[in-house]
Amino acid sequence: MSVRIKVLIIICLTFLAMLGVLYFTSQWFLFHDSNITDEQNTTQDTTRLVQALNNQIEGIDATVSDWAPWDDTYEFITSGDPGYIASNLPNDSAFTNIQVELMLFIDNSGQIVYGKMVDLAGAGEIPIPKSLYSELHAGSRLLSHKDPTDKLAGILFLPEGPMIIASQPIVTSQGKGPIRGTLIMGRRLDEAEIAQLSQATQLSISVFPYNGDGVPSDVALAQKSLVGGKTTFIASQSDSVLSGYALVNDVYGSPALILRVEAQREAYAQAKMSMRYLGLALLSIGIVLGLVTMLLLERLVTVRLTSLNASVMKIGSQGSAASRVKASGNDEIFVLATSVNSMLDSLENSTAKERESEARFSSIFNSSPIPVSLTDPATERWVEVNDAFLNATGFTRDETIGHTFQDLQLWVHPEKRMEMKKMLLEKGRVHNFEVDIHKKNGTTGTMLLSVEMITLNKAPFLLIMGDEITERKQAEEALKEYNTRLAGAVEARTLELNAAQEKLVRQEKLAVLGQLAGGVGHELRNPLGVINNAVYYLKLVQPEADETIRKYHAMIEHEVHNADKIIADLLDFARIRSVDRERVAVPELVQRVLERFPVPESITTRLEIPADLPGVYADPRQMEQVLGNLVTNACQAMEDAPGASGPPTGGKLTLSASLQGDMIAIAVQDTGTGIPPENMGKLFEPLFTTKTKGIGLGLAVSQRLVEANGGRIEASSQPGHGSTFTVTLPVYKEEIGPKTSHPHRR
Amino acid sequence: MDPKLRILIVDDDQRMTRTLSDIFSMAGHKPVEATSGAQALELARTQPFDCVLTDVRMPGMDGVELHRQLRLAQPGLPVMLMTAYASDETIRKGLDEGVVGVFDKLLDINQLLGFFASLARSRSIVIVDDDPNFCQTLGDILQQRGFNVVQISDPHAAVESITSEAQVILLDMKLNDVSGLDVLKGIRERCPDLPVLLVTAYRQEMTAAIQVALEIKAYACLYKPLEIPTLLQMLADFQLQRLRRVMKEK
Repeated sequence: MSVRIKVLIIICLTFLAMLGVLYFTSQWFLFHDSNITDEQNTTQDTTRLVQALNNQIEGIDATVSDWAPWDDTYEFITSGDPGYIASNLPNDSAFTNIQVELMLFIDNSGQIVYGKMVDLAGAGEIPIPKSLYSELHAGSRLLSHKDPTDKLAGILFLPEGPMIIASQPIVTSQGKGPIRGTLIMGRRLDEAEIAQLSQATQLSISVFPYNGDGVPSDVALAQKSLVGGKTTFIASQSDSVLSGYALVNDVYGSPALILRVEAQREAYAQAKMSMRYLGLALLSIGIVLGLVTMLLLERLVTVRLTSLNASVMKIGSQGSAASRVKASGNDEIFVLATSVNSMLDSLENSTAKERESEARFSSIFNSSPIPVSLTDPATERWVEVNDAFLNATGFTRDETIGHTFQDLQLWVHPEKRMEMKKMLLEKGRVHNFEVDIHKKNGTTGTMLLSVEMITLNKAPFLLIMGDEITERKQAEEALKEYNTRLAGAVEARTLELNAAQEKLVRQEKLAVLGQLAGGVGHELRNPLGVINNAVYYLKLVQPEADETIRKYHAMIEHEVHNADKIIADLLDFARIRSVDRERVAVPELVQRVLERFPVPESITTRLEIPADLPGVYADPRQMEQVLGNLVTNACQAMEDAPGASGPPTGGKLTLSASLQGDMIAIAVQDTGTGIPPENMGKLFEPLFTTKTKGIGLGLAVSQRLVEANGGRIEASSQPGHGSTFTVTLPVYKEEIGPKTSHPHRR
Repeated sequence: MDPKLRILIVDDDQRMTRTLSDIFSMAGHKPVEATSGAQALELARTQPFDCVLTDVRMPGMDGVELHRQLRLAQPGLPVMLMTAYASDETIRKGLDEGVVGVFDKLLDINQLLGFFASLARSRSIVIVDDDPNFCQTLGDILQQRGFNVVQISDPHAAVESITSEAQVILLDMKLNDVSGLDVLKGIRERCPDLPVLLVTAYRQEMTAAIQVALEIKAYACLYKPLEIPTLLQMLADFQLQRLRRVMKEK
C-alpha cells in the first residue's frame, strides 16, 4: 500500500474520528441538555397541572368555608327551614354561581338534610351518585370533624368518575360549636372540567384512574414508578413528545388518579436541528481541512518520498552502488536522502572491497598449487574446483562441477566417505584424511584431504583441500625398498671394503716396496754396468786367455745379467710405464715372444692360433714381456717336474688363442708340476715365489701390465698335470685407434 | 777398418767413463771422458767430436739438457743417451729434440760398437763434380765438420766406385760430357734409396732435367754458390734418419 494511500486513510480516519467524537459529544451534550430541559419543562407543566387541580380543590374548599361556618347554616341543619334553601339556593344557577355541582348538608346523625346535584354544563339537576352515599357512612372521615376547624378537601374517586370534594363542619359564623353537621360540596372531574383545566394551563391533559384497568401502557409504567412518595414521573413517548405523570391522592390519602401531561419536546427538536447543522458544518470543515492537509503532505512529503523511493528503486534495480539520489531541502527527507547517499557510499566502498576480496579469494583459489574444491554440503556436488584440482584428477571443469565424486567414481574406496563425514560432524573439520583416487587417465593416486566448513555469501560450503602425495608415497615405498637393498648393498660393500682395505694395505706396502726397488735398482745398476764393462774389456784385451778365464768371464757376464733381470723386474714393478697401445697381430706377437724367450729344445711347443684372428689392442712390448714371463714360468715348471731329474724328459707347451666376444684369450698351457691349491690365491701377489731364483715379481708385474692394457690374467691348474695361464685382451677396433704414438724404449 | 770416431763419454760415475773409454780405445775409437755436463760442453767447445754418449741422470745438468746445449754449439752432432733408470718423460723429450737413441744400462757393448760402425759409415760423402776446385773446397769444409769425403771429378768413373762407401752423394747436374741425370739413373739402378743431392749452377737451363731427377727420388737440388748451413742441416737430417733406422734395427 503506497504511502499516499496510507496518508489518505490516516487523514480520513483521523478526521472521521475527530468529527465523530466532536459530533457525538456535541450530540450527547445537546440531547442531554435538551432532555433535561424538556423534562424540567414537563415536570413544571405537571406541577402546574397539579397546582391547577389543587386550586380547583381549594376553590371548592373556600366556597365550603363560606357556607359551613355560618349561623344560617347552623340553624338550618337543625331546623331544616326550607327558607334557607329558598333564599340561598333558589335555583340551579345558584350552583353555577359558586361553581359547585354537589351540595350535601348532613347532620350529626348522618341524615342528609339537604342534598342536590346540578350539572354545570347546563343539564340541570342530576342525581347524586349512589356510590357517594356509601362513602357517607357513620364514622366516615368525610363526616368526622374533631373540631370546628377540621376540614377536608380533595379528590374522591367514585365508580361514576372522580369528583373534587370539600367537607367542613357546620359551625356558627364565629366558628364556634358545637358542630351540628357537615357541609360537603363537590364538582365532578369530568371531561369539561379537564378541558377547562387544560385550557387554563395550556396543557394537553389526560386523567386516568390509579387502579383502573385498561389504562395505556405508558400510564401503567408510570403507575409503577409513582410509588414511595414520588409524585411526578417523566417518560418519553416519542422523539417529539414527552409525557409527565402526576399521582393525585384522594381525600383519604390513597392514590386515586394519575394525571398525564403530554408536552412537545421543543428543546430536543431544537437540538436535533442544531446537530444536523453541526454535522454538516463539521463534515465540510473536515473535508476542506483534509484536502488541504493532503495537498500539503503531498507536496512536502509524499512527492519527495516517492521520488526518493523511485531513485532508490532505480539504483536497486540497476544494482549499481555508484549512483546517488538527489537531495534538497532542509528536513528529514533531505537527511534521509543524505543518509541514503552515505549508505550508498559505504555500500560502494564495501562492494568494491567485497569485489576485491572476491577477486583475491578467486585468485588464491585458482592459483593455489594445492587442489582445492568447494562442495555443497547438502548435495555433495562440486560448486567450484581449481586448476590444480583438475590437473591432479585429470578431469575437466565441466565434468566435475555439478557432480559428486561418486558420479566420477573418484574414490577408490567410496565407503570411506562415511568415515570422513563422521569425522567432519564430530570435529567440525577434517585434517589429512588419506584417500586413494582414480584419475581420469586410469592411474590411481593418493591424496591427503583437509575439509573445512565455511560460509560464503551466507551459504555453507565444504572447502576441500587435497594434497597429492602419490609421488611421496611411491617415494616412501621406493625408499623403503631402497633401504632394504641398501642394507644388503652396505653389507656387500662392507665386505668389498674390507677386501679393498686389505688390498690397500698391500698396495701401500707395494708402494713402499716400489720406491725402495726403484732406488736400489738404480744404485745397483751403475756398479753392475761397470762390472759388465770391465768383463767386456777383459775379454777384449785377453782374446787368447785360457779356457778357465773365458769360463769365468762368461760366468761373471751371466750373473751380471741375472742380477740385471731382477733389477728390471723390480723397476717394472715399481712403476708402470706409459702404455703405448696399438693393433697387435697375435701370431706375430707369439712369434716374437718365442724368439726373445727361447724354449728349451727338450720341450715340444705347440701353437693353436687361428690365422684369421683379429688383432688385439695392446702395448706390444709389454705384452711380449707378459707372455715371455708366462713362457719362462711354464718352461721352468716343466723342467722342475718330478721326472725331470737327469736328462730333460720334455713336456708340452701349448700357446693358443681364441676369440671370446670382443676379447681375445691367449692361453699358455704347460704339462708341468702344477700349482698346489693353497697357492692359487697368492699367485699374483708380489714377492710370492716358489722358485729358488727370482724374487716373485714376475706374475705381479704381468698382472699389472695386462690390467693397464684393459685386459685380465687368470690361472688354473691341476697339480701334477700342469697349469694354464690365460691373458685376455680387447680386440682392436678401428674407431679406437692408437692413443699415443711415440717410440718406446726397451 | 772402420774410421775412428771421436767419442765424448759423459757420466758422473768415473768408473763407467773409464771402462767405456778403455773399451772404445781398444775398439779403435778416440774416446774423451767428461764427468759432468758442464765439463762436456767445455770439451766440445775446444775440440771436434763425431758423437756424444751421455748418461741421463747426472747432478746439475742432465743428459737431455746437455744435448740441448750441444746442439746450439754444434748442430748435427749425434748424441746418444744411456740410462739405468729414467722417467719416460725425460727420454721422450730428448728424442723429440733430436737425440739419436737411448741405450739401457747394462750396456750391450757389441751393440754399441756396431752402432758406432754404422755411424762412421754414415759420415762418408761422395762429391761428384767435374770442377776439381769445387770438389776441393767443399770437401775441406765437410771434412772439417767430421765427414769422410770422397771426391770424384771423373764423370766416367764407375758407378760402383761412387756408391761403394757413400751414405750421401752430392752430384753436379752438368758434368763435362756426361749428364748428371744419367749418372743419377745409374746410381738408382744399384742403390734405389741412396740419398742424392743435386747441385747445379744453371738453374734455368736444367729445369727439365731437375724435374726428371726429382721424379726418380733425387732428394733436392741445391744451386751454386752453395749455402753451406743449408747443406749441413740436410746432411744432419740424413744422418739422424739413418741412425734412428740403425737403432730400430737393433
